Formats: sequence, structure tokens, C-alpha cells
Amino acid sequence: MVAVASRAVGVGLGELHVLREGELVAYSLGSCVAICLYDPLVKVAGMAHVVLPTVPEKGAGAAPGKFADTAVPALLAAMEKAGAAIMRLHCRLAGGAAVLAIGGGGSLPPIGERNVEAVKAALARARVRVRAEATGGSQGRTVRLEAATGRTLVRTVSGPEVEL
Amino acid sequence: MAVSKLSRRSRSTSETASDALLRAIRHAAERGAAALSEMAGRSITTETVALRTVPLAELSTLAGDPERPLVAIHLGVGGDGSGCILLALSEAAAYELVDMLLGQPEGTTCALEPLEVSALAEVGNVAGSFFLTALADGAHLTLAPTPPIVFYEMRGAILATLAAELMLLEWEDALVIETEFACDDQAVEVAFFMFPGPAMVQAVAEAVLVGVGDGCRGE
Repeated sequence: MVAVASRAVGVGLGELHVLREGELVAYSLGSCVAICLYDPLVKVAGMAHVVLPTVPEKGAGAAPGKFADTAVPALLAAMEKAGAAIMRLHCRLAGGAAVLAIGGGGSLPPIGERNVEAVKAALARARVRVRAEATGGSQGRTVRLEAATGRTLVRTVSGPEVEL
Repeated sequence: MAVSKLSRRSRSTSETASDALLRAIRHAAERGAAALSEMAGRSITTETVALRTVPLAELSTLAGDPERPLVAIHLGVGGDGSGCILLALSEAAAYELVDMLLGQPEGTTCALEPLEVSALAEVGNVAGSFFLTALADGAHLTLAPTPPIVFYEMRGAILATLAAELMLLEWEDALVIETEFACDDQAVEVAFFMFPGPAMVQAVAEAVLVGVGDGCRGE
């Protein structure tokens, strides 16, 4: 779970990763939410790529990072195992867009909004405060988290990369 | 193609049914391309038609770089089936298509304003309607597209959102129909994806199975 990397580590749908060097990247988030955690003292970074708000009846299976309610405790446990302390964590969120509902013509449910709400509820239960977020709206986002600095960078299809 | 993964409800579908299903889809894609040809006044043909089963976790990286921007036309499928259609174009191909449709010199369009978006939506409407009608006729179903929505977005963001919608239905993988087109015998950067729901796959597969039994080729 804990990687030592000198380059970007992609965090795919339902995955979660923790590392001490390099950066974590969640590419092209649509309705998914990236939970970005960073402990500035020990310089440990973690990211989960949440796809859905809650675990279905059949369980989370082998992908706790896929669901908001299991991703938060699993990511926190991985961060602690890597030496981070929950009370020191900086938490930032990105994603949760309604990509397929532009112009109000979409008939799909707002999974993005539900994902954001579920992630925030799970973080609140764990007493982790969200310091910044780039969530909602209608545009997809790519988010990067640098392990050396904790900088969290977000960009959309038509905008420049900005620090969160 | 792994026939056993056509859907959770059609694991017993034989290879023959898979071939017949592909023929039915190829025929439907050709009907869609013919409709586009008439609309654009140019020869538009299908280059390749393929069926693939893709794990949903890998859907966002389908067809390359997930961050690459594209213009996408999305249509839902209603009636006897469920699913959606996605017509994906590079920016350049979208501009070229708009110039073609509006009878403008190539290079005129350089942004997607309401008129251009409307023209692209009509492309999705025509291609999707003809495709679905051909598929529905062959399977004796009623399939109708919902109004098209045009996006300019990262490829992966669209596909990941579709994947999330399907995961919500507790799917683990998706059957993807991919079609590439040529215009005046030149390959163009337009891809046609269809993500049929299990019920539609089952209905079409059953219909073509009956067709195979009757000596019909599913077309």
C-alpha cells in the first residue's frame, strides 16, 4: 500500500495509494471524488479515488477505495501505518461533477453530489476537517498531490492548473 | 470477444449468437453511417465495428489518454432497452464536421457556439436514431434515443462517470460496441461507442439466436 516513487502514481477508479516521494494523480475525475490527505510533518501523502457513495448490500469486496464510507477509514488506516497522524492531516477534495447533466438535459442521477456528501460525512465521523475543495460543477478534473510539499493541483479541460 | 461476458444473464450465449450479434450491430452501424452521408453530402462509411467487454474500473482509459479533450455527443437509450450511445470526436474532427454540415469552407469553424453545438447534436440524433432503428428492427424491439447532449470534456471524465453509473447498478464490466468511420475513404477521428444494458443485450442476443435458428443472418 505504501509506495516509494520518484514519479507520478496514477490512482485509478476505486483505488487508494499512500506514498512518501513523487506524486499521486487521479486523472479525469467526473462524478468520482479524490480524497487527498497529507501529513506535513512526516511528508506522507495519500489519495483515494471514490466512485460511489455507499457500499452495496453484497459488500465492498476487494476495493474499499471505491465507496466513500469504506474509503475514508481505509485511507486513514493506510496513512497511519505509513507514520502519519490523523490530527495533523491536511485534507483536500476534488471531483464530484455532474459531467453528464450539462444543460439540464441529462436524466442520470447526481452521483457526484452524493459522492461529495458521503465523503464529507465519513471524514466528519473521523474528525478530519476539509481544508479546501474543488467539487461540484459540470467539468471533469485531474488532481495531483505532491508528496514533498503537499501541494494539491487541479485542472479542468479548459482551464490552467491551479493550486487548491 | 469473451462471449461468456456478454452479460450476467447471457453467459450461455453461444459463439454463433455472438457472431450474429456482431453482424446485427455492423448492419446498424452501416445504416447510421449512410444517414450521416446523406446529411453531410459526403461518403461516410464504417471502417471497423468491434465488440469488447471492458472492466468498469478500466473504462476511463478506454481508447487512450484519459485527459485528452474531446467533443462528445451523448444519447440515452429508452424503450425496450437501456444503455447509452456516445459519439466521440477530436476537436478538429468536430470543427470539420460542422463546416461540412453547414456548407462552409473547411477551417471556418474554430469554436463551438450554440449553432455549432446544435449541428453536432443533430449528427448524434441522426446517427443514433438510424443505428437504433436498424438494431431494433432486427431484434423486433422498440429502441428510441433520448435528446442528444453535446460536451467538450476530458475523455476519461465522461467514461469514468458512465462507469460510475454502471457500477451503481452493480455491474462489474460493460459490453462496449466501438465503430470507427471513414470520410471519402480517409479515416476520421470519430468513434461511436454504445454501452447497452444487460436487458438490451439479452433481447438482441435472443432475437438473433432465433434468427440464426431460422436461417436468418441477423440483418
